[in-house]
Amino acid sequence: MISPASNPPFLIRSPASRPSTPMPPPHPAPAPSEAEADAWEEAFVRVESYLRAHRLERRARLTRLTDQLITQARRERRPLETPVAAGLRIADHHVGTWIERAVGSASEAQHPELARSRARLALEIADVPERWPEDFLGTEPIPPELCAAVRSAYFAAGPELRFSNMAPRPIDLGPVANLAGQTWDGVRNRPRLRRLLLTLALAAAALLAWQLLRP
Amino acid sequence: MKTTPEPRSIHTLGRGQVRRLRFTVAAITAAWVLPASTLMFDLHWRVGFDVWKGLHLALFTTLFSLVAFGSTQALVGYWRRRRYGPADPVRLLNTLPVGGTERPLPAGASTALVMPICNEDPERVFLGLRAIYESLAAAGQVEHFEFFILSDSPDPNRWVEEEALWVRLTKELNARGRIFYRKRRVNTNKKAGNLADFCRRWGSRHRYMVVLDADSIMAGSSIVSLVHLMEANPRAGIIQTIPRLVRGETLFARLQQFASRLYGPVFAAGLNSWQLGHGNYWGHNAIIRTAPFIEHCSLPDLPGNEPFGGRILSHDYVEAALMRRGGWAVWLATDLPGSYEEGPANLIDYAKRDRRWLQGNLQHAWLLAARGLPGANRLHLLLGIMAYLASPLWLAFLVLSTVIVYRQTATGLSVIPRPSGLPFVELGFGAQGLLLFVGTLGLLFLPKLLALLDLRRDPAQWRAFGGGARLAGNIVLETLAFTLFAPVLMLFHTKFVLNVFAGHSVQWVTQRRGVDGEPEWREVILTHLGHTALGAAWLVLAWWIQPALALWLSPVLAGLLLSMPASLLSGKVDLGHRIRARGWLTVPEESSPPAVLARVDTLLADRSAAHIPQPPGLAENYGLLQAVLDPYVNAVHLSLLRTKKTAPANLDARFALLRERLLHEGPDVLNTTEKVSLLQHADSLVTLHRELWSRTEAQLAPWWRLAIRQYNVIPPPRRSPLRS
Repeated sequence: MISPASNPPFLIRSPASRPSTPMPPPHPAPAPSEAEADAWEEAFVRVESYLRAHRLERRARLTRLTDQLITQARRERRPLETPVAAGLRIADHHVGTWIERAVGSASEAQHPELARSRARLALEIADVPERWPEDFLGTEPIPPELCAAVRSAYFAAGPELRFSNMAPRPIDLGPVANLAGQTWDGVRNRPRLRRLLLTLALAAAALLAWQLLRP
Repeated sequence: MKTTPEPRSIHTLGRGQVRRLRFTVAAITAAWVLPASTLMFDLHWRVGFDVWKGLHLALFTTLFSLVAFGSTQALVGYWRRRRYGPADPVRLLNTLPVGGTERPLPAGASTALVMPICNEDPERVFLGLRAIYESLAAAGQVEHFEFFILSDSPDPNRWVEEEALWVRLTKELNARGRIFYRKRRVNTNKKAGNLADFCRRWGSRHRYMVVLDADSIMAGSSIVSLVHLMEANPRAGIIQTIPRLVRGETLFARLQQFASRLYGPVFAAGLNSWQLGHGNYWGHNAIIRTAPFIEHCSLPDLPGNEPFGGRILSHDYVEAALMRRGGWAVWLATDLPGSYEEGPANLIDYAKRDRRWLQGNLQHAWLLAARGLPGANRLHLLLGIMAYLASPLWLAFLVLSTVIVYRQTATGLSVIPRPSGLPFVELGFGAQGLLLFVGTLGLLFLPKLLALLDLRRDPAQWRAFGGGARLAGNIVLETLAFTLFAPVLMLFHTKFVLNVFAGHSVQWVTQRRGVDGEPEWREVILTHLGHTALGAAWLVLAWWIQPALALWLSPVLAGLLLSMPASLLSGKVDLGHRIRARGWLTVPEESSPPAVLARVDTLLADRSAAHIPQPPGLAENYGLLQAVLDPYVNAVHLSLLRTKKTAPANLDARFALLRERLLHEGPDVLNTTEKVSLLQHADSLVTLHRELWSRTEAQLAPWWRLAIRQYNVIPPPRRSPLRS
């Protein structure tokens, strides 16, 4: 069974159902060779999911590219690196290289990771996965119109800043409010006075109640 | 006697004419209050005046003055609308240049549309904004406007969703470089601080800014009209529109929108007739001249701490007063169509909103005597305070009435009133009391009658409200409903005032609208249990003192006793829909919806049809999930984060620990502050995204395993019945 695409609902246009498969129970520890095969199987699924998260939806291309990347990962796996980590490193490098081919290198930028993020966002804005499904993340030369679309899709959250000084102007609250403020502060800072005033207020309330209810 | 002629337009409004208009309102109010309070004094005097009756009289006079002032505004408004119609010389709209909204805006009239938001439903916010944008584009003037969504949303899910929706909106409208999004890291000074932050960063780019609320909807033509009005009135600092309540789904919301739509025009015309260029600002659906706002309207702190002092919560009234202090006019654009907002869906939400407004308005007491503020603005501040203080005063009036009757009854003596001390009053004691009661009721109902008479002059609007019989029925229904709600609100407000005096501050609660706003049984029972108990106890006590007292108090006691069912039923969306389907409580915006509202409805219907429920188990942290897992949402979020040049070493270690906990144990182990901290830290977001995808399932929390499987092409195999 093939599960439909599961993109974030606020970026997607077509409805898609989501798998609600329960978590499988842990399997008994397999033999070493079997464990290795399982680990690479997991890496394959993960890389495939990662590419799919980038909206590479053509099944044949997805499987082919995943297979290529996993084959490369098998060759270039580092010591102590899990197959999943190796697969993702290669896949991430592939995606990054493809984006650099489309928009130029980010390594010179002050924050290369953020520059890469902006480039990735530009892919989304230019609808690259949907408009160029055959070229997206491929190894062939990138069409110039795709590059132009991505480069023109960069945008900023805000326009150019033009700072103004907006400082509060003092308000003279007038003698009554100023006196009230000073009194208020005085009462707040004197716990004994506060207790005395509270006692007086309660006594006054009791007197008032007695007066009110007296026929 | 020398008479001042009527002005031809607000531009030729002389000082004497302003005085005459204000004197008219004051004189009519006094003409109601003086006889009524004299009659009340005489009533007490006839049976023996004492200090309690003096207090009772003072409360009566205060409360009656508020009612009389409102009715006077309706009366003057009705008279002006009847006398002048749209040609009313004090109507700001008459200064619109020939050609109106069709005229192109001048090149320098650059305007920012700013929408401060805080945890509201992002889908609704962005759909509303989309409708406004499309409406402006249809008006052919969108190139003069920039849109700013100013978020203070503390909920991490809402934050991420807002960012993604912003990208989608700008993409779908092809509005890159025209719609912008900003999220503050620290929500200093809430909404006022959010706007001030905008002004400091981008305010000077624009001559004007139109301030919208999260639920505001404005037609493009109305926004263009506002800019034209600003251009035509170069001394206007703020022009406030009168937003009409729309899209009410529950009975409670529909009652509000019906009442405000029907009675609003006469009240607005009356209000405008005395405030003129000394108007008020209600915080949204208004246009502001940016430069004077930046110069004069930064809010100072009040003496002391919250709830009374500290930051000013209800900033709008104060900003209007400060604008006036700076010499700029504040006008109310009466009759400008195309300005809408939504109201609270139920009584409890209405009270919650009032809780926030009440504290803000009570703070204004500090400013009543502040130097340099015009008298009209002091009056606005005072009326804002009294709008809430009236409730404890009304309660005190009712309690005092009960006590006075008790004191009289407890003596066991018959009441033998002396003859009236007033000349020309030859009424019996009972008849005089009845006259006062009927007079008060008459004054309360006068605006309703005037609004109906005003509407009668416009057959199209009359029909749009459903016609005569339906209108009469709706007014009766609305009157009965608000008679029941009023005592409950009285108790709410009284409790809130006491809370403020006890030093308890208010939290900034996000307002709920629509279906989400339905009250729950448990909430209703817990909220109204005290009201019902007080109503029952008061009924027993009043009946024991004197059955006539119970009868006199019956409208109040009925409201309290029925508070639970009234609150619950009026908040039901189903009931609201059924009432609408039968054509009850219809407003013209429903019988012939304006294009911008129809567009919002269409967009919302499309959204409902395409709605994909979030996966069970993941929904609670879905925003965080997307920001970490999805390459594009992660990119959106990172692109909007500010990078810090240097960070202390111990901070990195702390973030590393948080990241490890998040990936290894899942999001439930982190609190909201920790999640927000991670979302604010660019390096953590980069690392989390990479680590999450690079770890094996065994190294991840079950929650993340489930999340990552959303992208699997082939789900895990079903368990075979042949294997254990």
